[in-house]
Amino acid sequence: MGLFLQLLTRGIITGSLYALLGVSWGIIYNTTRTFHFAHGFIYTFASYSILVFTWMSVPLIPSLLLGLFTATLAGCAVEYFAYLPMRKKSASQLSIFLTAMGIMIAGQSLIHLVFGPDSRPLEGFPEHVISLGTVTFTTVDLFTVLLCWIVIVCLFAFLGHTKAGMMIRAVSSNPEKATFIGIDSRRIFVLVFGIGSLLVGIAAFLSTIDKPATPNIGLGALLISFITVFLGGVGRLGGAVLGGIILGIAESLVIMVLPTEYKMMVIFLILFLVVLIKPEGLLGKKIA
Amino acid sequence: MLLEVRNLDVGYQGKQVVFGASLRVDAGEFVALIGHNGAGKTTLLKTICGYLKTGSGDVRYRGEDIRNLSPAVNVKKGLVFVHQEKSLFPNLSVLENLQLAAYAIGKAYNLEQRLKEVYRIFPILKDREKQMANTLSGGQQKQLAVGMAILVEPQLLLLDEPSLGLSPNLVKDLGNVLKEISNMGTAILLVEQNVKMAISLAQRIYVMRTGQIILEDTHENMMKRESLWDLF
Amino acid sequence: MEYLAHTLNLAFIFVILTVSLNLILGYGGMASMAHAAFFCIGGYISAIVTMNLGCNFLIGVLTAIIATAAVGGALSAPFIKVQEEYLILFTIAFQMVVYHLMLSLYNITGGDSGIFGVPAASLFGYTADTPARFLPFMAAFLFIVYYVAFKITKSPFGRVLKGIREDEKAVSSLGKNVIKFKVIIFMVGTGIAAGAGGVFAHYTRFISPTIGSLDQSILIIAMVVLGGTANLGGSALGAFLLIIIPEVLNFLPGASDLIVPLRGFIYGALLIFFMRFRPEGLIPEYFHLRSRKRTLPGARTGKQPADDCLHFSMTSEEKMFNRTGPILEVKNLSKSFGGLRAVDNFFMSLDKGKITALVGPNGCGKTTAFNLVTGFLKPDKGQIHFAGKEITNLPAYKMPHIGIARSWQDIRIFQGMTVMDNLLLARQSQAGESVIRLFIMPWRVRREEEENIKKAFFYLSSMGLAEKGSEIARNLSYAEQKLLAIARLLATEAEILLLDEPSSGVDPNWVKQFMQIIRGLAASGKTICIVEHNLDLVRGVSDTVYFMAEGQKIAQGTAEQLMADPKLGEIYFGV
Repeated sequence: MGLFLQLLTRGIITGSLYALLGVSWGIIYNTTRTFHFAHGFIYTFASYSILVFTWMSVPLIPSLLLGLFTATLAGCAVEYFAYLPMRKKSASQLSIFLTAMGIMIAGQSLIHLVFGPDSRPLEGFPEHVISLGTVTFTTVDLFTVLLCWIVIVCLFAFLGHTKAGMMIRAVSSNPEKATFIGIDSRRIFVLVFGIGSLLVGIAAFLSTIDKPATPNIGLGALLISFITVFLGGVGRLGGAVLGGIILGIAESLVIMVLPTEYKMMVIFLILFLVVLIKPEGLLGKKIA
Repeated sequence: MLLEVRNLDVGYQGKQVVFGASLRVDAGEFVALIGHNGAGKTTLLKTICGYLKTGSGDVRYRGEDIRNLSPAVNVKKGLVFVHQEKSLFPNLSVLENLQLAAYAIGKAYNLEQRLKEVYRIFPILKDREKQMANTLSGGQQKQLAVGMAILVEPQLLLLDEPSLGLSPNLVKDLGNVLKEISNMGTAILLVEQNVKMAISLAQRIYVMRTGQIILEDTHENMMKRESLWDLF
Repeated sequence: MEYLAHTLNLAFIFVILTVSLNLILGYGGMASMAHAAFFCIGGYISAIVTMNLGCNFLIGVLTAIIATAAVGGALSAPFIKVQEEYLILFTIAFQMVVYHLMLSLYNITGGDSGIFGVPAASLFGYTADTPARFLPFMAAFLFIVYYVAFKITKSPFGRVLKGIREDEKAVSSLGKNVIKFKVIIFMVGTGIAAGAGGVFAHYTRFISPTIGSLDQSILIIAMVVLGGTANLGGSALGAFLLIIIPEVLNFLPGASDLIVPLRGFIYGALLIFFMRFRPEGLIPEYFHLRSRKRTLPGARTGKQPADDCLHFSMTSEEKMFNRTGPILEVKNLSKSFGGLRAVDNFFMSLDKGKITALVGPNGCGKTTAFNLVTGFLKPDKGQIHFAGKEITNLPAYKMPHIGIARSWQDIRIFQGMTVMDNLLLARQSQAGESVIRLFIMPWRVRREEEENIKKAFFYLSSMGLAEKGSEIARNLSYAEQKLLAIARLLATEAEILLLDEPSSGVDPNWVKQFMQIIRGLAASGKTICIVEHNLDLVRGVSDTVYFMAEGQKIAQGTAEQLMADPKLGEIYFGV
């Protein structure tokens, strides 16, 4: 029982981070239908930006803010300079995806070239162990869970109650009509890429205070973020949150029965079963 | 003359849909465009408001050449198009749909007053204000779509088959509302499959067949016709 | 010398990998992100089989090909069914899982140190124990792969794939099971990758997970894109270029640590550059067309469409149905969308050799009825009988095969294919559309193809397109494309033709000509059903008109009878 509770707690911590990753990719995919493979690069880029600012002796919080800012800009730039010209040429989904992959691999290699392959820790965040009965976790874990949920709630509030949020929802549900009433969907796309990149930057920050950054951390994060979205259901941001929690908890609890190496296998199995039984995802609407 | 279309050719995806169409709408006038499905009526409307590219020909709005201006620009000029289906944002509330129409073109001033005006014409929308648009009935969705259009105070309203899928009673109500909007001074170019309703409302009628405008006639003359079959 | 031989062997392996991925990505139009994983799996299978059973390396490689293709096909099929993004999703996930498993299953794979001592390739006493001695094996394997890929892509099977990339729905309306074709080409590509893995394991006599990472998969994709999708020569070129780049980098002083990221950066940048500025790759797909033109029998004597051309000779199939009276009967048909009853208790029967039209106000359900009859929608209730057999739940792709074919309002011809290929794609039950029969009975495929070209030419001539056979369809005028669509429909040799808005998008002056063509088809014994809004055309061609409203048939008769009924006028024009 103690082990179960401990693993469940771990699952919730991981799940919160996964949910954040899921919404960060989901908001982009749901609105623009771009298989944004370069999201993984933005994740790595955010980590290293924050690190670079701390190396320049900027204090942690300002470094974080500056790093998030540059990551957001990077995300907007990818949309504006890479995807948008392809959309204008009405390129196929597949070619936009291949471009995204090119950005991912080139960007990640560039970081490797500049900073080398070594792992880089982000220091300065207070880490203490907290024990509640048999369950233990650290202040970093607690902070991660709190921040993830604050950010997710803020995102939903933003989408639900602001003009820009309304426009994003409008473009994602009926792009043609949005054009007709005078919404500039290109600007909305750039905005959405900015938001998604900001969110993934926060997730990158949270994982970097826990685990040091390496040039290839982006791939795993990317993988989780889109598996989460397809698991939860395309078109429903709530689905990505649910998908993230489920993955996090499943991945953690499976340790009770299987060795850790099978973690990926379990995630894959869940995805496979969901696509087999309900291809539109847990909360998704039926695919026509 | 508010809108003037001359010798317009339109094609997309390699096929020509409109062949040399000419029509005009005067300020405050109510004009209908009828014809069989696939005759090119919707294509013509979508071209006028800038969504589809013109081939050759002329489109002038208030004397200005508006070919190849985007719909967004045209909406700001008071030229508003209402879709026959998918004419609203299903996952936004009724109020949000209306607000968005105003926000999208930066026309947020006096919004309360214009909302009141829309609610006066469509009282049901006031009651359903907080509901998601996709929970509305077909008739209410049509009302919302037209409401979104009149909220931005257009000079020319392009309506694409507003009566589609409505029951006869609702069609009658819709007719009255269109009359009222027209009386407020808004010019209307109506595309309708409910030919009788279009003829009874409009001052002038154009008939389209297979991409061409084959007839232009007045309300009075059209009302006198015995059969309409030969036009389709 | 051995270094050169080694580089050449390596390049050959990558050519094989790019060619096989090009089958999936270029010809199949699907992104497989797991190509390196399948390559690695093949290596392990072949290594384990040969080491445990002590058999020849060929058996190991064959086992690898078959097992990997089977597993790959079975796992990917559900994802291919959904949408293109889902296959990307699946293959990335699969790639990651396989990579992790290879690293963690020490007992089977040896973990990250891999398996050593894989037996060397040997055949008839010749053992390939050095790179130079292995070259003949590698070259032979490359040759076989190239031959297979060439044969497949140039066959009727490849033609269907090309059609699928252009328009899946049109392909299924011509009687092909799109999913089946996609899964098969995925299996072929995957199988070859696994075979390459097997050969590679016997070449290096060692297999480890490093060659099966996602980076490798992406590298192979970059090669395909660089060389040109759907082009086998381009794939070879792409592979060579991307193999040579890092070899050259090796000579740079002090670059050895940076070689991996530098390589990644170059591949990524090339991908971005090519997708943006030259998506067709170094060698574009239709490159070969300039030198190769298909000669058509009698292409010079093409005639304009004349009435006599429309009287077709009857094939044996048609004779089977050579009878009068109702041939297709629809009873009780119902279909709802959400709460809306689009088609409600609909009855219809089509008479042999007659033209039936469905008319009604917009939204009356005629298009839904049309889609139900052609199998593009499944009815909730009711039956459809064709020549006495029930065909109610038959999927759309089986319809042309039994003799029911449809046309599309927006024509949906294959714009990027030749006119002749458009028609050949419409021929039913071709042996050349099966990968297996392509190789075990090539003579039959060849004979059929000749036969089909003759038939296709006949139908082209009947529409006056005889001289256009080798032109790319998009270069035809719209009216010619419309004629091509009809010729393609005829090439299915279906008994019943359902025409979806035949007059749509046609120059008004052409409508008369189309009326003539439709009448000519009926006179030649075809049974025709049209959904049409242009009442001029309905009046001009139809023997019977069904008037629909709110999903039901409310009247039936000749066009004149129906139009004389004031009640129908009210429904059609409103009150």
